Amino acid sequence: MSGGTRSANDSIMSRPVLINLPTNRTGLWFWFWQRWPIMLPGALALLLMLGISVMAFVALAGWGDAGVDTTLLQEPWFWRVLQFSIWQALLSALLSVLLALPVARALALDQRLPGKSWFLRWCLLCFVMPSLVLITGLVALFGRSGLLTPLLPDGWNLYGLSGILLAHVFLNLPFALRVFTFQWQSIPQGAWKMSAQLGLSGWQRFRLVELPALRAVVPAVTGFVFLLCFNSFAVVLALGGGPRATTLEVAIFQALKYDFNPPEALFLAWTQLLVAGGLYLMFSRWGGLQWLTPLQPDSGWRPHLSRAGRIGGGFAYLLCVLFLSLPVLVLIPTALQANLSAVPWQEMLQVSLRSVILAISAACLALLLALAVLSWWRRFASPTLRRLIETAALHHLVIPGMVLSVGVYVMLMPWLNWQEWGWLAIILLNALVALPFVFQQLKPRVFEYDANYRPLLADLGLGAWPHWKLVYGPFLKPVLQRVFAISFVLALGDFAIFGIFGNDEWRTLPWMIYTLSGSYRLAEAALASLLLLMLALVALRLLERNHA
Amino acid sequence: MKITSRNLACAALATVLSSASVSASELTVYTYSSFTSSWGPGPQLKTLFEAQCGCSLTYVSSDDGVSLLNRVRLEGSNTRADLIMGIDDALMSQARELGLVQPHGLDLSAWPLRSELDWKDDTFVPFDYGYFAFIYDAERLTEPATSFAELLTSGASVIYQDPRTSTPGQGLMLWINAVHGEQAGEAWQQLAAQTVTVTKGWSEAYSMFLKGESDYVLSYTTSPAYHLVAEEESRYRAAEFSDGHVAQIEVAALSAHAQQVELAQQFLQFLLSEEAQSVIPVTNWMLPVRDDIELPDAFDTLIQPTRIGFSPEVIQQSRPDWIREWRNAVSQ
Repeated sequence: MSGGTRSANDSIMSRPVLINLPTNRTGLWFWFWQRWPIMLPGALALLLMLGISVMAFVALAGWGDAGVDTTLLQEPWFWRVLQFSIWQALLSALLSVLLALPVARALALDQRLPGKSWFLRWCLLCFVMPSLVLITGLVALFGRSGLLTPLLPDGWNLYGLSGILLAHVFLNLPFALRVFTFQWQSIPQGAWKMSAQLGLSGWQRFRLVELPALRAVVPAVTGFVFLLCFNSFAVVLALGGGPRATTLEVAIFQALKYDFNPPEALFLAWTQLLVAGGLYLMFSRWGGLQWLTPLQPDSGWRPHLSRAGRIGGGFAYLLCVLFLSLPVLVLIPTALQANLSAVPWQEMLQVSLRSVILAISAACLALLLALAVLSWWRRFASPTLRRLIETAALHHLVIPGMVLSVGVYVMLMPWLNWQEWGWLAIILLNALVALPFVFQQLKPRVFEYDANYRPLLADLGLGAWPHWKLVYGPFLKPVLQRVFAISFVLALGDFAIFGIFGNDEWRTLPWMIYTLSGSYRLAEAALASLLLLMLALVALRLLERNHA
Repeated sequence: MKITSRNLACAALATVLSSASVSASELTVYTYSSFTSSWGPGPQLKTLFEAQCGCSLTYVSSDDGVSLLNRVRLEGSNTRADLIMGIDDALMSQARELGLVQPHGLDLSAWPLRSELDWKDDTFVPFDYGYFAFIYDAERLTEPATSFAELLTSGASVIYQDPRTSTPGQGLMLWINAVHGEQAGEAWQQLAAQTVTVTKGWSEAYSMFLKGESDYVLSYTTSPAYHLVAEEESRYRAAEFSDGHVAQIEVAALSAHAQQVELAQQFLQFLLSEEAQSVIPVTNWMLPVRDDIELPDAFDTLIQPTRIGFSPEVIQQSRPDWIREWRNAVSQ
């Protein structure tokens, strides 16, 4: 079907017809002119997304009010920061992966392990858990007057590398666990049976059956976790403990907010972009990862595990459950110590409401942007055009949120009063950060829709709105709800973007927690953390309900 | 009905998303948050001033003096500030150079200001001052250091504040540079070996010290007065260094974009009045800038250090280099 020769009418609005672009320029204009109502949202979305990135890059290139300060290259401090950023990310990634492997094996192979599906669902929450909730929990457990601190060796100090590693492993181990468990489970029954018939020893079976299945994902998971930790901000700012444990991400923030030194912030942002973006492009070639899918039912035949193997696996599982639950559970007794009359209830309520409004707006915007871009994507037949559109939707994966924020901040500073308009940037940038994830989750569903129902619907001749309301919307609804929930939780826990655009008077829940624990009001911080966690849980309930 | 509920929602959204608007006879003062906290001088000064001006006074607070300055700078001509209160002498030159303030138009010789301040500035009005000092617990430490050299060789643990975010931290930076000159980098390195942690603000550092996390904490010579007056506790004392101590003079100034210039001038005069000057020492725990204020006896027991330091212009010029020197020395 060629859309190029059709006249504009209702049927074009309603039918998702594959389009081949006219080749001459006048034809293109005419073609576009006829279809502007359906093409407009996509055009606006792409313009916004690319516009923001271009703006950030223009600022990074030093075309704004501030140049880029390259004298940092001569400073030992800069190299130490870079070195520490890489070192902590590397350690976090290796620890997360190495600890996840035995537990994932037990989860996938030991059918008698209790509470598995609960645990894996909990893992999903851990991975998207607002860092500040975790940080409060870790301080309550391992801080200077923490519950478990007396059990630790003398000279233990949470603040510094140890705290950063604890938090990063907590946040990323669950992700690795989920991916590895699915991978182990995906080994076909036949392979297990065969290995049993051939009488392979445990080691031989591992090498010939299990290793090939893992080899595909272990490097990708390590790379991905490395990147997440390299770009981590809240954890390092809160648990870094001074100039000795600073990462690039925190140094960017400090250059802009502590020193008000845009040239230095821009230089550090470049470094962050080159390292993180470069590594992302490298790692993304190693393939995608499955982590959102729920645990498959344990029906298939699994090999018999040795007694030692089972006990070892069960023990690892138990430790892992403790490690992933204690920092959250400890919040309850800590919060109960709060002097209820001293808790700033009204402020807490106002701050929560503000956080929820911002997060809902960001999640809605992310969904709208993704749908708008997909409306273009599905109308073009050319694979090149489709790939271009995909790149536009996904390119924010390469640019760390902090870099994007600093770029936009510095670029618009002369014209825009960020004290007043910061909230707009917070919504917009949180939406852009969530967009790649939303797009990737929605795309297969839209593809499926077009593949199955397009010919059918072409004959139905529904108007645009009835079509959306009766067919397209309901078809996408489960995915929309799921991605909305996750984008909402991500935006709710946002710390970095708010750190740049927010201010002291106008906090969100994570920043309120940060301030409370900074002034040693741990009980109230725990209370606020529980509140934040509750909000996240409510949103994720939506997700799980539609998954079952 | 529909319209009303929408309007309501908009109004709710607006209150949540933005701060209140400004009315005609309202004076807006930007300051730091411990000044306006319930135990700080803010509430009392507000009551006193509102009783005499027939206006309403609104505080807008930032975390500390440094972020206060950054905020005014970012807001530029859109600022709501009529008055900026709570930056210190070390940040004066920067504020002036950035064009954030305007001359106060007052004749300061009309007030009995302490002679040691030797104050002649036409833009900034001092409202309190203090000397930076390391505070120790006399029940734990019987022989406190009497100079920087002794402190840096004692091996005693220290908590101090980040010079980029906190005015005491910045004060330590001036102090170390005033005492050690070219050797400041080495002094920082020695100090780093004894440092428990570098905090973002004063209150984090001080509460850690009170919980027994370190032998010394960077604070003010006046801090022991707080413990004496409020807690009748005499164990916390300031170590007097023979090298001399750097002073912090807290100042207020008219915003360059003030809407209420006359009210703001009136507030500056009020800050220097006897009643305001009597409130500040026992709420902000700093020394009054007038020499005729009667203070609680506890203030007589405080050490009386020799003042050393730099002019605001020198500080303004050297600050970036000193910060660099600090971060390179302590990140090792």
